[in-house]
Amino acid sequence: MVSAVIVVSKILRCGEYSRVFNPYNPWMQGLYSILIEYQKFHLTNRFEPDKIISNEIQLVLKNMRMNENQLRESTLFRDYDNKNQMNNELKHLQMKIARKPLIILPDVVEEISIQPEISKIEVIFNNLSIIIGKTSYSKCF
Amino acid sequence: MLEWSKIYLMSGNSSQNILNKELEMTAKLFGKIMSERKIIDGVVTDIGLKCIVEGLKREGKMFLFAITALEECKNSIEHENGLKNILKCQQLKEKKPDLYEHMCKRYYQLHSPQDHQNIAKTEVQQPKAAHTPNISRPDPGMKRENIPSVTTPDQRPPEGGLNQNIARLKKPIPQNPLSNTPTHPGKYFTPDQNSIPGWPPQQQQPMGAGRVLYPPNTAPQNNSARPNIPDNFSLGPAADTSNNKRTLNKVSKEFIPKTQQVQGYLEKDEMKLPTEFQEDLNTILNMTGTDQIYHKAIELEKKIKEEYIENMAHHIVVKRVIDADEKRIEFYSNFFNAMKRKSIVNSLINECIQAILTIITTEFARSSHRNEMGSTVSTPIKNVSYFLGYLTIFHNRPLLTNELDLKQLLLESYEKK
Repeated sequence: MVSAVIVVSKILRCGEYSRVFNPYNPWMQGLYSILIEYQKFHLTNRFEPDKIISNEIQLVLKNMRMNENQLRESTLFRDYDNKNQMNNELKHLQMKIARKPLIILPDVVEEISIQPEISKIEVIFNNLSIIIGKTSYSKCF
Repeated sequence: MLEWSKIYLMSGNSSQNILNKELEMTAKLFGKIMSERKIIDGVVTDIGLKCIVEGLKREGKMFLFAITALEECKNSIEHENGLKNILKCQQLKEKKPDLYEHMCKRYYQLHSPQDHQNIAKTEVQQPKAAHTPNISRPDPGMKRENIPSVTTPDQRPPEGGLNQNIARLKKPIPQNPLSNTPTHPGKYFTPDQNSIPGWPPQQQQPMGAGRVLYPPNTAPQNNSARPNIPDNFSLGPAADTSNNKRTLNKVSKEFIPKTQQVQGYLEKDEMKLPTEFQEDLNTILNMTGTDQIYHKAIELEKKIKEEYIENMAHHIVVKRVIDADEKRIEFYSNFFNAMKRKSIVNSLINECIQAILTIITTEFARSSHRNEMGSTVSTPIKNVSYFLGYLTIFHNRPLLTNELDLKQLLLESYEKK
């Protein structure tokens, strides 16, 4: 999510001085509204909000020549969380993701590397045995 | 419109039997509106029919108004009870027999198509009962002459009489689901249950507008015009849930592990560019002044062959843009926008998108590049997205959704976080 927000915010920031893709452009406003929604409903409600994302979104909204109140918040993420089937945009995007995903991550379940932990335990045991041995050795003398 | 007509009707300036021009016009308009089913439907047609029926029962202007309206909409009334109530009016039969006959035919055509043929047969045998419709029994106060005849069992014709037609009416009328079904009778045309023996038939459901009668077990579950979209989207093949196996996503058949993916992308076709061209490219891109951008861009454009474009774009994005500053990125974008060939900029955009997606998949965004001083300068994904933004949006060029849909990217990353 961090990388996606960074990509979107950096691209949006390039449109500050554009004639066509300025903040009054509806395409740009749609993306702004999604970022505002994410900031309001997902970052503020979290116990430990991601600082990178919040800083990026704040930078974008600061450089925007419009007020935040002029923009309408989107309901994309909330509808996704609530599984609202009435949002046509969400439906379209989900269909798009199902057909042609942008991020193809492998469903790899990371194997738990047991060997290093065992080695750590072994080291601890060795150290303990050395200490015990030393103590026993010192006690002997 | 009804109120307007009432005002005219209440004014007693003109004689009772002559209809004013304005009232005639309103009556015609009223009838036309009734005939056009697209304008009004449902309860409004009930109200209109009620107005006509009440007018037919009265005398004077109201009667003339109702007749002129009825003549306009006589071919469009399909309401069974409405037609019955119209046919009950004796004044219509006396004063306008042609219209009455037309309404009778209309009634038989719509609600019992074979009745009219049977009546034609019985007309030869019983000429007196020729035009009497098969309608409700009259009120006790009405005269016997004007009562619509209902044949008794003794008078029943041997084959195909009116009583058989009544028996046929008991059967549910087959309805075409696609046809415009008649409107709900409402409170104005409630069927008189005692009027016809055995009427109404057992099927006492109102013939509501838009209500379609289906045989059992064939009614469609969903009447909406929207396509039936399943609740759960098909999100590709389900992943193997066994925890002890390393599984690959079946969508990406040629999947390469993350580290190899990045290395392979960075080392892709790097050596295919000729050394002379690469040196020229580096010397031109290393210049600091912005005055000669246009001339230098044209100079370089002459040297670029079409074979080099893809490799050059890859070289610029991977070697130059990833480690560059914001100002330098702006310089690069201005430099390549000065070139006349669009294919160069398009290949650069495609290369940027590919780079962004590979970096996102490798979660390369969090790892920041550090210079020798140890301070964070920029991350590669920031620089590449800046470059993409400068190439497209800054120069009023759209970022197509076929190439990179930013909303999809946000939602997908939110989904797969």
